[in-house]
Amino acid sequence: MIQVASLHDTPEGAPELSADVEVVIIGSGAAGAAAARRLARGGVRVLIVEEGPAVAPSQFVSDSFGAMAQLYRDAGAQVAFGPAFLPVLQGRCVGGSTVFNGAICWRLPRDVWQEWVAADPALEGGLPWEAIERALDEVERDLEVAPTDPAIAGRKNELMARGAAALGLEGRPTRRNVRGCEGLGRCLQGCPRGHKLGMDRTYLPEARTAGATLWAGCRVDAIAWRGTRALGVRGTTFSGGRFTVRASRAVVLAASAVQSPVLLQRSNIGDGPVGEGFQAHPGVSVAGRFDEPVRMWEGATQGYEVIGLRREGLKFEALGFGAEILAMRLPGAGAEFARAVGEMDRWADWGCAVRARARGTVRPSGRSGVKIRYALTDEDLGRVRRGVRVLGELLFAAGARAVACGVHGFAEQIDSPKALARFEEEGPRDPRAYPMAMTHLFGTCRMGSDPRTSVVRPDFRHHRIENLYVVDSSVFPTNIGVNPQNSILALATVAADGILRA
Amino acid sequence: MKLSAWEARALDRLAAALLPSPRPGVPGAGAIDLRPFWRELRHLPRAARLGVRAAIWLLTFGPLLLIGRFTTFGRLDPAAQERLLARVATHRIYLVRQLLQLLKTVVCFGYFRDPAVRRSFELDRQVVAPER
Repeated sequence: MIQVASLHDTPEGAPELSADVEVVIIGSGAAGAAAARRLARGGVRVLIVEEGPAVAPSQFVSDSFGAMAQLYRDAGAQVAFGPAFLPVLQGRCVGGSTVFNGAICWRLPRDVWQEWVAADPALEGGLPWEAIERALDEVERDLEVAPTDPAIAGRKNELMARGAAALGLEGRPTRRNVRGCEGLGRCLQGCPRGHKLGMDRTYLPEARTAGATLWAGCRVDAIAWRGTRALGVRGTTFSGGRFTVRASRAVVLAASAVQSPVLLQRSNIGDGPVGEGFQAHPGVSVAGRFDEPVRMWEGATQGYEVIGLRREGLKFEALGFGAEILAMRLPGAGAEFARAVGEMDRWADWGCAVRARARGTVRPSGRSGVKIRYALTDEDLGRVRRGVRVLGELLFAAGARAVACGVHGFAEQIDSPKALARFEEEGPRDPRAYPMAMTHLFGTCRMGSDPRTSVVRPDFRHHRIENLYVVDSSVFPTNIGVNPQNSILALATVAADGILRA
Repeated sequence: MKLSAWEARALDRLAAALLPSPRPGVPGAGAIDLRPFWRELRHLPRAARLGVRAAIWLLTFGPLLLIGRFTTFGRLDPAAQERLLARVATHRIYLVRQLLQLLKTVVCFGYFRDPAVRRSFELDRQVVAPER
């Protein structure tokens, strides 16, 4: 990890900014950082433009609202509209969501890549498995990915391991990109000690050392293009000034599965299914009350996962977040709620990420907003019910005395797992009954060989604008059922290699 | 959007009813000054700010709107406030339930920012890292 004096290179005080570079990269999250580092090391003059601020670990705050206001898009209050309102969590800072995610690392499952190739055989040549594997290996080495150290796991993770063992479900300590983790449980607010090896601590400083420039607090409003060539970008700085960047070689879009399609649409590059096919991993959580203190806000943030049902589209994690987030999940209002808060140290909240089949849309709204529409399918809701059941069973198997599913129309608390099997069969079919949130966003500029059904080619180039590349998770043809950080890093690295060869 | 003085007072009352003292020695939301946090709600996007405001109005006039009693939330006795909150939490209309959940979220964010509350729950205690 390279230390740098400053976190960004944004010129101060200039009313109008402009730059001439070879490649401009929009977004500094996993995709933008990986592409920037690769290109800068390849001798390319790169400028990374990031809408959010640069925040150092010493500036991270411990309370969840403060952290969300500082690091998350819309202070964590971005919502997908449909039958239910589903919060959509995204980063808006230098390093993107790698700054505040749970540091969970997964390799892209080969069976998911095989699904992609089965649907579009051209991907086998354009995005060969061997190239992905090489990039994944490199990412894991760079980010020091390793299983969670049991010494700092904390009780919540130990209890999930106990529950999984009792039920005979395959589980494991989560593989994470941390160095010297002390189990502060602060991943989701940004690690104040800088132990998480997010992009702000790794690939971005390395890219800058290799010659890349990073502008923070600069929102790209449009991509400039003519005919089949992208010319650069123009946008607005945090203080309201304007900026222009001319890119002689390529424009690389790495702004996320929400912002990338919106920027294409705002730039009148709406060819193909831009903004369609939005997929995610809706998450549902269940809380359990134990006789012993759990203090779920302490210990490795998400240090244990149950992976035995991954191929059913379900993955379970011991959650770890600020006490205020746990509190708002506890049952009741008034005296009952206060009682639960009073014994909050005995509650654990575990989550299930669902590989939902639903596909939504992402469109521009107003001058700079977005509108996400998304509705879970009946099949997805069946998975959600199964996820709730398994979470409840895991909690009881780990020793919980009571479980609160938070499902409207179902008992606020149950004290035995018997009701859970019936819940899976007979639980609500209405998505509005379930408290859910969405992370891991995909598919809105998907990759493929046919311009009618895809936005970029298998080499990440836009079908029509030949030097415009999209390298973030919006190009994934589907969601992947596991935490996508390392897959995004790997695919962006493969994309950058292609740009270097072009 | 800034809450009016009336809305801030109403939000104080709702917070106090929503989260009374969790256990002896720990203040309830009514016993701490949440006003500085209410001012920070300006960081929320417009839709969420509107949601908070709608929740304040809905619950303040909840007795009239939801149970047909011609009074306001603040004038109900604590037991009646509790019953009204329970009714809203399980209301058949999704939007009504969501507004209460939004209020619960906002109150929890503000409540757990208070230094006394954080000390009571030992939220910032230094966990000793293992020797390496």
